[in-house]
Amino acid sequence: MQKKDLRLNINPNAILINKLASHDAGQKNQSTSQYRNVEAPGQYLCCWVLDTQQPVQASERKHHDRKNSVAPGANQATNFTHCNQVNQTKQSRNAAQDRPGTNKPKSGTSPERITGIQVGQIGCYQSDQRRDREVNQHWVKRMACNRHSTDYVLLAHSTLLSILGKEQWSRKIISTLLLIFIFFLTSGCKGPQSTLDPAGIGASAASFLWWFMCIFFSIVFIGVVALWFYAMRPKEKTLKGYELAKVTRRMIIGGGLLLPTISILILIALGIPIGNRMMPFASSNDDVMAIHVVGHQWWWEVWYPKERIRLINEIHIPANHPVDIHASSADVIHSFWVPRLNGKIDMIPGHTNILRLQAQKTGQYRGQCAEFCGLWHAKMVLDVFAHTPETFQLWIEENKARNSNESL
Amino acid sequence: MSRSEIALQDKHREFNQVWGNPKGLRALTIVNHTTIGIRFMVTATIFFLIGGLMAMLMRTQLALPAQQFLTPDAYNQLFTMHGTVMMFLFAVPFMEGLAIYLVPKMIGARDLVFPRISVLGYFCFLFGGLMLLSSLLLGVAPNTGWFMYTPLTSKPYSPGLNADFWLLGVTFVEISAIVTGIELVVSIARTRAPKMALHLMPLYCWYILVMALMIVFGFPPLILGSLLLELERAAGFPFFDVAKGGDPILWQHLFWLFGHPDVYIIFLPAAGIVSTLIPVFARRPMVGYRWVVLGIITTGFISFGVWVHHMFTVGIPKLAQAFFSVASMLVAIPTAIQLFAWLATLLSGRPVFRLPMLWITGFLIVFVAGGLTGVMLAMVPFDWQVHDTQFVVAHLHYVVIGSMFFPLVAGLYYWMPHFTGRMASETMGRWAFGFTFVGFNTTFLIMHWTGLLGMPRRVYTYAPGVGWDWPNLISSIGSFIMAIGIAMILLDVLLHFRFGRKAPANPWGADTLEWATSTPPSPYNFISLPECPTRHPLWDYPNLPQTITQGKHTLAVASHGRRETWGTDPVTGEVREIIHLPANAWIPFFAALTLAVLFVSLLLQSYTLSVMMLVILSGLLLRWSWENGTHPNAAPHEQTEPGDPPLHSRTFDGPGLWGMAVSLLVDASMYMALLFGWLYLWTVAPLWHVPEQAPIGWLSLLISGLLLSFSGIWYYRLMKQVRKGHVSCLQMNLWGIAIVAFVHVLSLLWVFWSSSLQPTQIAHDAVVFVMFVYVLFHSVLALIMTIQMALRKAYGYIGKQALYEPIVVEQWWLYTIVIFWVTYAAIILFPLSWAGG
Repeated sequence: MQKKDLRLNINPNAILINKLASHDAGQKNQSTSQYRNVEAPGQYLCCWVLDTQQPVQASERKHHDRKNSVAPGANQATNFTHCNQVNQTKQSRNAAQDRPGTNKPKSGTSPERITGIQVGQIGCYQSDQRRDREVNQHWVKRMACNRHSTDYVLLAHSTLLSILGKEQWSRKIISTLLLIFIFFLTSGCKGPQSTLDPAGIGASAASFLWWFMCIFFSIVFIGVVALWFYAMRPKEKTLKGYELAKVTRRMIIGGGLLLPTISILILIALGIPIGNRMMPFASSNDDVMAIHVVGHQWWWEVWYPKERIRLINEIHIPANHPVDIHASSADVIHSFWVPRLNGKIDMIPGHTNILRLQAQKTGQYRGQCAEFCGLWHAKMVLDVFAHTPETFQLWIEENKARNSNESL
Repeated sequence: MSRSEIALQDKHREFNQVWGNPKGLRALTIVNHTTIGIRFMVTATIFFLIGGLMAMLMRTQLALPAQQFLTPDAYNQLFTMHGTVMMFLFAVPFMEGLAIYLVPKMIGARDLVFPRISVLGYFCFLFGGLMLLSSLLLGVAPNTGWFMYTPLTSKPYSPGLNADFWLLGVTFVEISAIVTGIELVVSIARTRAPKMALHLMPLYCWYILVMALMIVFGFPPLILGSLLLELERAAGFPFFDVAKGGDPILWQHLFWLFGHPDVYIIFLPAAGIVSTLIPVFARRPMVGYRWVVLGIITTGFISFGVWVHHMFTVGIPKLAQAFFSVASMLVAIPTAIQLFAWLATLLSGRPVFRLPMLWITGFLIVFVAGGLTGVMLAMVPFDWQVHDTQFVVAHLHYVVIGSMFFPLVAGLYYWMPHFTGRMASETMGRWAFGFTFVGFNTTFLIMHWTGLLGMPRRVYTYAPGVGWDWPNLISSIGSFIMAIGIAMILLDVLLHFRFGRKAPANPWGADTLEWATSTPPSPYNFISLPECPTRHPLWDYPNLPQTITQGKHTLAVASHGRRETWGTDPVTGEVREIIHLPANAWIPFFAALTLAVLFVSLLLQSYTLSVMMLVILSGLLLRWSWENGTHPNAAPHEQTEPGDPPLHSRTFDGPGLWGMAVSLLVDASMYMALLFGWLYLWTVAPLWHVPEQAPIGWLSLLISGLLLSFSGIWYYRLMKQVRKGHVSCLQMNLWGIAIVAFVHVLSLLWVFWSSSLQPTQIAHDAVVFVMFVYVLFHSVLALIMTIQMALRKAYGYIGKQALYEPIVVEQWWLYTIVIFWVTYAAIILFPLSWAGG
């Protein structure tokens, strides 16, 4: 019964958040640039639609069966996921009625959905999709969330339960914890400032890295904890002699030396190319646009040196075009961070750091100061708008004109 | 009652007269490590509750978006103080307190080797903590984060007293941590039970040894940083001011040079608790003892090479980032070795699942999760995203609470019968665990997600609709559940004094020597000191507790009025001398009190008062060192029992040598940090410039240095004679050395006077100024100590039988000479070569 209540409570709210988010995005656009009006809300809703197409349910059902055979206690968790999916479908159907146009991308993408993309493939997918449409990219990310939630949870649940299965209370605690966990995975990776809802090259790379490490380390974590409970089981006699030597060797050499060493090597092999991709290199692209951003307590001063445009708390950039942010500060240390585009870089008085931004699609991206900078640190927010090349050119001309008028 | 029992009671009475603790106001004089250890732990617990209350307030504020529960300034003060209190006033002191309590008992000694230092350490901790917390009551608590980044903390952006409270308060508390660290190192090295060789030492002591050494090397950079920043704030020395040639990044380096080792300083002793408990509850010896020791030492080393991973977003060169990234991940290896050694012990033993093991299980789950997110954060590209977000907040709480708090509670339940002689309630303990564990994970598991959704840390509120509303609410609810759990632990501890059943002897069937004392322990721990040629004394010699109480082992006499313990070889554990320990004293308390007034006067910038306090303090410290060695207050009798080795003050081998050596390591670490700052500014500061004319004359400084070297080498040669037993002209020679040293100090002052330093104008001169003061301080102290030695010779405290004190001072002399010439190279020769190249 308890779980049922929880289920009822959670879903409407998840939806509420998303409504709010899309609402928010839409409103802001209205005040700043016209052409985004249609696109922003559509983008959010379209995610929901894609998420909840039938293929997902099919694969869910498959999981169902598997889980039933493993551990009966796991039922409630699956029910919940399942129900959540259904609710989401309902919701998105309503949304789809409002905006029929957003349904389109699904037909092209659903087959891959059924087979289920492996984590490793997401990376390849990302590189492909640079020339693809923005919507595709979006659902790949979303899908990563969902896939993860089902597989991982199943594994965790069944393993833990088989170990602790005899104890009623532990079963309850674990399933409650897992329920909460599932809720957060399914309630979405999106948000105007979410690192898991990437729209830039750097952020996509970091997001991929997160999912890879999350799955990899979850397996390690479950393995270690399972081993612990296995080791803690009551035993008749103490190991001695050859058996002891064997256990010691396996544990200390295998677990203590090899496991971390191999993990580190894998991570380094993966991390270095990704790090390179996120860094600005002078030689890689001659046609990089430079924008100077100076942090003040508690606002952002934005300066386009070539175009001679000055802005406050907002940056306009062309989409699919590299932009170098030259970050510095006029007073204390701030940190420039637009999570959906790239990682952060500190803004330090006397130093200039460069951060490469490249939005993969047009849109509005929220940024926030990430280094504590005093009383109103929490309110130091900025917006980045990525335009199509044509609209960006228009915007430049318009602002240049305005700027020169002002200076006159 | 049989005759032997009566004799035994008399013996205990005799020991109590020498070792007993006074009551009433005189309780302030108690130097006993059991009392001091408990005081440390109780005080730290109270600070912990205050820190926890701050966390509750913050979670209440963040429960809903756009709340008005706290003002931004109040929130900023709270998160700054929460971090500061938990790190400096709870985690480190509690772990040190537990070590102070346990270490002597585990290694079969009667007390720590410098008991008066323990008292000084405790009161510095108490007064420093009160000073920090008083700022909260006054409403001017530090509000710039526990990391105190400049320039936010420099005068223009923090004009109030807030930052000064932090800088001075934390420095004060750190004095406590450092002196305790020194004491623990020397105690573990020199006072182990006879025959307890280094490889037979309990693992807990290995952990504490490495932790204490890490304090010795890790804390000085922060003290230096705090002093420099306070100098910048109070006197305008521009170390961190870009416009005048400084660099704010230098502060970050100095802070994290301390800050990261600090994490391991907290983790290692807690891991020590785990390594102590697991063999006991697995009912077999630890598997892979040598591997674990290797792991501990490696952790200690690596942890000093990873500080830059707190600064990946600062704009550090790429190669350096890669280096520190790999170094940070390497820490996983020694940690994994320990983890799998624990697993192997459990696998091969017959575990019993008692309450402490429940907490250890909680530790394992939380700590492994925290460690894994730590490796994630070491991945630079990922760190660029989640650095300074709630993800890091979640990670650090997983690591700190997982690796420190859970083992600590396990240890608390495990040693509770030892502290009080009563058992705590197992049922209540399980409930407390349930609440804490569930509450903790509810709060912080979700917080990873909040961070990934882009919520930065240190924000007092957030806008609705960014997607952070629900996760924050759940975190807040979880934190209150956790608070219930912690309240239950406290209640359990309080109730067990009244309702707890009497603990049997060695209730858990442990193997280490601390369970051979009575519970609660008597002030002298053991009435006779046993040999300990094994890692598991109580398993190998089950009737050891009885034979110890019956006085069948060594040093079972106290009629001479001395407090005695064995001084043994640091490696083999062979007996070398009897260490006689000082009795209860007022001086350490007054020294700490004077220090407190000194720090308050610095805070209020009333420098006349500061100078007065400095004079009083010097007087107290001189008196303290006077009542030492062969002084009648320190050693009432000089004769030892026939067959016993001599008293340490009558050898060339006392623990003071070690004390001085470890103190010089602290000093050297601080100097290295200063040198690092000098070279760093020289190469990296964007507006660094060197005055056209060298502010200090190279020739006059060279002459001054030659004078110093002359007197130092004279002292060194004199000590060579002393070691051979030639003491005929000792006093004359000492006076001669003092005169040359005095001339050196005068010349140094003259060089200083005639220099053209402008320390408030350019960072270059500011650093030179500090180096100069540092050298001067060492020369003056060398002079004072030499005069003191000459006087002690005149009073007869140093003589043919007692020649060990001047040898202790010799180390100081040699160190002073070395740093003088290093400084000379750094401020005179290095700039020349730079200009030439």
